[in-house]
Amino acid sequence: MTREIEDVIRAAQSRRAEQAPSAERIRAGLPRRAAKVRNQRRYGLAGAVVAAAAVTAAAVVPSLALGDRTPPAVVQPAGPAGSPSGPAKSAAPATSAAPQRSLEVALGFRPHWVPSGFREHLRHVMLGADDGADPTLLRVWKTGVPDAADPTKGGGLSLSVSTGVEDPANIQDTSGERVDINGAPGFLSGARDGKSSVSWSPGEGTVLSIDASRVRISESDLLKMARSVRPDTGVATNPVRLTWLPDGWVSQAALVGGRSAAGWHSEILAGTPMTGVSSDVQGKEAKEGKVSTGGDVNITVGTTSLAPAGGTILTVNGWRARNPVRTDLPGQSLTYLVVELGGGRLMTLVSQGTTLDGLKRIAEGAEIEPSGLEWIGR
Amino acid sequence: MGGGGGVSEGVTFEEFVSARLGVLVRYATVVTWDPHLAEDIIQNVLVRAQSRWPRISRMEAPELYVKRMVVNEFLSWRRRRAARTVPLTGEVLDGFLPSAPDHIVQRDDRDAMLRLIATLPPRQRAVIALRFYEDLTVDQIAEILGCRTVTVRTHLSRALASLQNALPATLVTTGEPS
Repeated sequence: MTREIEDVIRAAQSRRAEQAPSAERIRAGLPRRAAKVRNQRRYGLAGAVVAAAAVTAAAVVPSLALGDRTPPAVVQPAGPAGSPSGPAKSAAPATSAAPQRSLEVALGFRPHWVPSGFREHLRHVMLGADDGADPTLLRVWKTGVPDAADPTKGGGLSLSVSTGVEDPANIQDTSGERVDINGAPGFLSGARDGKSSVSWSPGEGTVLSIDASRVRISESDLLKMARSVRPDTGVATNPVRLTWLPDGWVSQAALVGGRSAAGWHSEILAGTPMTGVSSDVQGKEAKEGKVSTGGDVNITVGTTSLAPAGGTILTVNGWRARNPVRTDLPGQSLTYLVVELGGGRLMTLVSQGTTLDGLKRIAEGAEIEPSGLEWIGR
Repeated sequence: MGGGGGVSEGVTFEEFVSARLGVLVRYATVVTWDPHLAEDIIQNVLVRAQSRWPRISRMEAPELYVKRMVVNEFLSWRRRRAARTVPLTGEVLDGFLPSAPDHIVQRDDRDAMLRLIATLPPRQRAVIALRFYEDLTVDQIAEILGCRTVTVRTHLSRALASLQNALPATLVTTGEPS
């Protein structure tokens, strides 16, 4: 019987393999992907490696709006209108502003005990692929002082909160030892390659996990931290709010962190829904030309900028700004805008898929309200 | 072992891609069970492999290393989040199957299996891909996944049990020796 089912599995796998995407198309897309990956590595939200010097003295920026608090008026695209089937790279700003997705997410849960020396330095919200999807929240506790330019650098203890999960078993790593977390079955994966984790589902479509990465923590402390997790009625907020994005683009992920409330650092990743998420439906739509196959922008507000030096000087709503240009092959598809907000604070926008005018309009529509950040470093 | 060969030491990255991309794409499709996710993963992996190629090309089995990168990419928690939608989307499942009824019992088995594999947890899906599509031993799978052999055996037995229990009884019996 086992032999028979193995044969059926092999036949199904062979058939699935026949449905593999075109190798030629994948090969043709490699240069563009290389540029995108390099961009995400340097400016992205997922622990990108950054080499800029840290700025230790961070200024407190009071409530600040680059533009009006109301959405900007309709403007004509500055560049030539892109052909409907043309590459996203040539897209000019659209003429209508869509309501932007809120980056405020319920915290859901928090640990009431963390090992000595760990302080919360990072909150990372990953919004779903569409408005109906539930977000995933990642809270990170670190020892020591995080990098000012990139607080995601280095290891830590992270609490991941996923809600709206239809089948929690599907996203749990069930390979570890079975453990009990306050009555819920959990799985503990012991230290391996400097990583250990415990995951469990407290019910109602929720999956929680605590992951230790590049930090020394005993299994008993990991379990103690997990068992201290209780509901948290707080809300994760972002000091930066976008009021305008190119047509069809949405906020997809956001990160807030830093060394302290005064030295906060924010990143928002926005783009076409295809960015960073794969699904059959989106892939089909992209191939049928129903949605753009690319286009994203990373908006960073902090005390450093990772953009290249130099560039054309311009003004964005009265603020001094510059438009650096990269001439290396991967950088040629990227557009940069660095806006000096005053008080040592910089907004850096780097995009693939919109024009400089698009970036200026995003910057003009950005509102900054650095409140509710007292948790950073506590 | 199916995954280790296929490329000789000292080849350039371009030569490797020219010779092995088709194999890698099919492999990624079977591991992920999602052609679009496979495309995404293969592109990311190749971009990373290119930057490390001087070191990878000196390995005994560069292709195996790249295949390991594919599995790891798939099983990373971000990918798991994307992958979990595979068994839940009716449109995805419909895309797997022909709309016309199939009266050949053997083909019914295979079609049912296409649906059922999509419902497996990603790690079990990866294990059966490595075991039956790549024909790797349990020890080799454990090495690729960075876990103990007993863990691989557990995933494998759970996957087989799930598939066997879920396969329609009428189809299961067609596999019984007469």
